Amino acid sequence: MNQQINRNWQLIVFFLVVVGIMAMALSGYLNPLVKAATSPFIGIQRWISTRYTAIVEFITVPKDAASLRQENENLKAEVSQLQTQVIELQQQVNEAQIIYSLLDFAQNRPENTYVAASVIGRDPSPFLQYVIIDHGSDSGIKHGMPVVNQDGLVGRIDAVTANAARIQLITDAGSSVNIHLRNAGVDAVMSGSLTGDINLDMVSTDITLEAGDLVITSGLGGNYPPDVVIGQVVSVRKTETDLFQTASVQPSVDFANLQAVLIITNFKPVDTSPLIPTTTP
Amino acid sequence: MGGAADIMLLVLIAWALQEEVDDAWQWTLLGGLLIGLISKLPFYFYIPVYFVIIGFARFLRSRFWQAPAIGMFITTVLGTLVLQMATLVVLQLSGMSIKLSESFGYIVLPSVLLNLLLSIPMQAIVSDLAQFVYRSQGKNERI
Repeated sequence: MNQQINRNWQLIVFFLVVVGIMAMALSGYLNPLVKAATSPFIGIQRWISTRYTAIVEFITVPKDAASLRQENENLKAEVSQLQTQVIELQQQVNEAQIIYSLLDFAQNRPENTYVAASVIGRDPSPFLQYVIIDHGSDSGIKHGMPVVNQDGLVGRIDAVTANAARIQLITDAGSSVNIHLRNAGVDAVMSGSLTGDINLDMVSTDITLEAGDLVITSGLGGNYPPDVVIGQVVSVRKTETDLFQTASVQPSVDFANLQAVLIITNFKPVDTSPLIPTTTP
Repeated sequence: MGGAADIMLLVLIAWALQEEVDDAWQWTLLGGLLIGLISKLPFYFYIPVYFVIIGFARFLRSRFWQAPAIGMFITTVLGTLVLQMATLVVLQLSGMSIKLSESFGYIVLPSVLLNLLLSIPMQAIVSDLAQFVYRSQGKNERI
């Protein structure tokens, strides 16, 4: 009987001890003790794990290196392909921007009909400011038609073949355009030069020319339509002894990076040469 | 600076200076015709000017056969000067008023300098090309 009671007491004490330990463990009182007890095992586990990983890597690395090298080559090829695609897309974006701006220009002047063309070449002689475009008489382009782009006046058609045409830029030394100075309210003649600059010549000294004055085509002479922007006056040269003053004009068109142009096909230039009197002997 | 390099002229000079080359005149005719068709200048303008320059190059080839680079330099400088001065004369005759001093400083001298700079690599490229062409031709003849 006594033995039975003792065993029950032992069980109760054991149960209480277990419950106490569990309560202490759950409440965190045993953490330092657990840590101290498990840390040697963790150290051993870590030691074994690193050795095991090193051995596995030693066995499998040659295979991995080969596959990694292959993967690296594939990725490099993919990168170069993507870079090519990026460049192509950038070019397309640039072309699209030019086309949009040309379209915008054309929409703002619905009275004209246009043919868009890309610049495909330049005159090989540095004395001449001419460009070649990829559209010709097959597209309705004719000699003398004015050429513009989104920024303003570019020049006029000088020669035409079936699929190409040559444009004389307004910066060419042989080019002259009848212009109108918007602020000064006067007409003048603008000519190109060897250096690619454009100048106003033979302007009377009575007229007040100022830097910043907008230069547009006057339409006189019948070579260009009126009111096409050419540029701005940047500097005026005038002395008291001179009969005329001259001025430099900053063109609105970037002739160094001319990529696309619009040819005004419904404008018929007037040939005034028969009206110019010739000296008879 | 407003000058421009004349790649066609440089190629023709370098080709004419090669020892093995016998067909320089034919290429000069073709090159002159091609450039003449693009340019605003009369299409027949480039052919005689190029012929004069290539003739000079062929003359120099016999004098500087051991140092083609010297022949290339001399022909490039003189050839560019001749070409630009001839262009100037033609443009003046066609009624374009061009100041000589302005054109010399702005167009002619920069063009000479550009051509001179490009003449070195061009001579090397064309020399390699000539070796490649005539070596393969020699092999074909042997076969």
